[in-house]
Amino acid sequence: MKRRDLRFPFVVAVVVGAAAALTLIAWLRFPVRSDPVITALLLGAVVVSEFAAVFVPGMGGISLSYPLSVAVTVLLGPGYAALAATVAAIPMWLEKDSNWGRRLFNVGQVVLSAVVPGMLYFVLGGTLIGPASVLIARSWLAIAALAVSGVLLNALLVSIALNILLGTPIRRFWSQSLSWMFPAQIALGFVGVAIAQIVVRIGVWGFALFIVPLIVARQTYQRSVQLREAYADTISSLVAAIEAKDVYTKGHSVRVAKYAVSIAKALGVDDPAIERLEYAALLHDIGKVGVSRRVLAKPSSLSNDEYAEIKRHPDIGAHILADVPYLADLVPSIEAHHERLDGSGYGHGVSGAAIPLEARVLAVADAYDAMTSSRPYRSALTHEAALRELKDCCGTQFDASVVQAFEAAGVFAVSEAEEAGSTP
Amino acid sequence: MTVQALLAVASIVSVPFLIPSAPSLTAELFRYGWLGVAFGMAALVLALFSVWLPRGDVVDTTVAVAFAAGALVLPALSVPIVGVALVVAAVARPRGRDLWALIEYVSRRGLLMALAFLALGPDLPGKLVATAPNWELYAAVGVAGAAFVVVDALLDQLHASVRSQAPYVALVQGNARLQGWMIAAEMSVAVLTVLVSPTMGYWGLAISVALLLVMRQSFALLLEVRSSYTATVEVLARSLEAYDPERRGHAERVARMVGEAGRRYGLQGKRLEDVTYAALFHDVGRLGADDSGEDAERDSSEVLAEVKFLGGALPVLRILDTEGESEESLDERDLVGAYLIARFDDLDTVVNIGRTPEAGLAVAIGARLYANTRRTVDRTIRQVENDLRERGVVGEPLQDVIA
Repeated sequence: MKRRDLRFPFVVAVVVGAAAALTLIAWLRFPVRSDPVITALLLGAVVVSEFAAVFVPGMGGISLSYPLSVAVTVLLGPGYAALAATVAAIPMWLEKDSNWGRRLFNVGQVVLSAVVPGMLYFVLGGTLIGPASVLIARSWLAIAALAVSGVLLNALLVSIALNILLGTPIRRFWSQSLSWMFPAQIALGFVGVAIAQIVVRIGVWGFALFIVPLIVARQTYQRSVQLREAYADTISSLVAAIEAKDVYTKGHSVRVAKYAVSIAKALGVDDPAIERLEYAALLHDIGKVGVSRRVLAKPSSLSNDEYAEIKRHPDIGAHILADVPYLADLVPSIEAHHERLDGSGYGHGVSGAAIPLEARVLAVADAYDAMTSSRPYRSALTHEAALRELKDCCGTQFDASVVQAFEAAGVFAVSEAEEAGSTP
Repeated sequence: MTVQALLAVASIVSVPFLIPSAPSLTAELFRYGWLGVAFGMAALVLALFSVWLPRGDVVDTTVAVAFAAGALVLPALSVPIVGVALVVAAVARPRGRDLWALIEYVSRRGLLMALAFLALGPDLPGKLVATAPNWELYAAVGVAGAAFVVVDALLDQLHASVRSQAPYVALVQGNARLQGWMIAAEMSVAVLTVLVSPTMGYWGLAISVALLLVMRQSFALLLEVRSSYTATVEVLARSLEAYDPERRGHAERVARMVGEAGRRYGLQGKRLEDVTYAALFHDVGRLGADDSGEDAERDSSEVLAEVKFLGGALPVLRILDTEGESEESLDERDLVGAYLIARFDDLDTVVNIGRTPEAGLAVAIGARLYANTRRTVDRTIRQVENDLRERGVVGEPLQDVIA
């Protein structure tokens, strides 16, 4: 069965699971507290926090409604937690580019992620928090189960959904989340208990004390996500400024990055690795700043000494980037982007599997762009001619699977020759 | 050093006077001894995970726990315990804090904790667990918590001012912009910790620590991303100059000098960062012009127009590109930034490149500055020039200059 075929059964399973959980709440008569003011306050806060969720590429939206959901559970009971979860799904329901399957899944998964841990809390001996509660010491197991299971269940459902819908590997989602997202969310679950304690003890004004810290955490996180998203743009603009010196290499690195990303996607490489490959592609020729401009722009063939100078640029580039901690992991692929499978390339003379996959992708993207661009000593090749050349060199210069992926990706240059309506 | 030493001595002398005015140590030791130890552990954990800013000061999340410990536990117990925790953390992660600064930091915290205890009175935990809500008491805790955090931050900025030779008021304003919300959040958590701990015991403290760590984590992530940007942008700026051996390192030197002068003049936070980036890229238009002669030299602000991260540097670059002749009204601080860049560009061209600078840019931009402002800027430039000539123009790495 294909992954796409699992969409419908998965959505049905989540929705049925949520309906079953709601039925269980009514049937088993879990504790409930009626307090219209606190209910309105917390539900309102849930809606606001969902509308203000921070979207993280590859991980979906991250909101601060989780501690509020925990507070609702221990203050008002799992029935109200289900209501809060339904309210939390309103912004997702209103998304313009959403479809019914997605909407139903969103509602089902937030209800399940709120209700099941809520029931677990009461089954393990948890009680509704009262004004004089010093109940944490008695109910620590129940509270820990509530805080942890809510995060894990939500992550499980979202990771399966991302895997089915977008092909995001489940293991990658969990390994990314384990590093800091899970600890932060679990900590926020415990904060939810403190919110409940303060609200029930000193009233709704106590809730205000939580707003500033939570907003600060949310704002700073959002700023870091926005900055990360703009990182590739920043590099490409500055690299473009460097390349602008040479009329023949203008835009080269940006085009290589475009081809490399397409190849990586066709090869099934995961998102973080694609992001790193894009940076490597943008910066793969940075070492040329250490090569004489006279040699780079020479219109005739190069002497041995001049060619030796050109061959230093992967090492110079690696040396430049090794000093930047965030980019240091790109060094192996930049060092090896002129290596050949048969070992006849330059860099460190490695061959075959010893050449990193990223470098093999860069080699194909770099060669294709070089062939389809004009040089002082030759005019640009057409796409077909360049592709034929890539295929002819498979096994000796290029990795055949990478060339195949490039062809399958179908992102090709409109060469200058084709633009001019002529053939070389 | 003198100011730090004076503050440290004043705090150390004050604390013993304040501590005996509290109730019997023996009785308190049995009632709240373990709570004091728990606060010490919390302070240690938070101090070990403190986030250090590139300019050398710290986003200190221990302040909320210190206030709660001071308010809830007898100072004779809480001050030594939290003090030891802060010293242990400072020894484990020294990060360049000198001995006097550490003594002042710990003794200042001790003084503020003792004052918090006296302000809120003994047996605060007992009053807080009473069944009926006591709004007067909650308000007093709120005011004391806010005062604790603000006074602590103001004293901390005094050190930063002495260390960096930056004007105190400007430094406080810059810090308020950079960390204002973080400080407000710490105030909230400080008050929360006091209100929650008596009823929830150690769990309440653990939850406050968790909240502070979540805030710290978000802030650290932001700083990490910003630092990777800074390092990348610096490398690319250096690469831009590589084709021109004569001017290699010029932009970075100018950026360092502008950063130092800007800080001494009173530019802070994002503004100082923007001016430093503008200095780093002030020649990008000329350096990026192609050799074929097909494309004319472009304005630096135009070349960088698409780089959102450098958006704040664009107004300064536009002033340089137009030689200050723009008709639009210009922000005075952008003018100051552009003037600093023009002046240090000239200085580096003469001192390090050995050429005569192009005449007129600094004069033209200086003419747009208000007379008073220009006099102050010129004075700062002269001080920085003298200092740089004494210790050589090349100073610390640029990343340390950018706040």
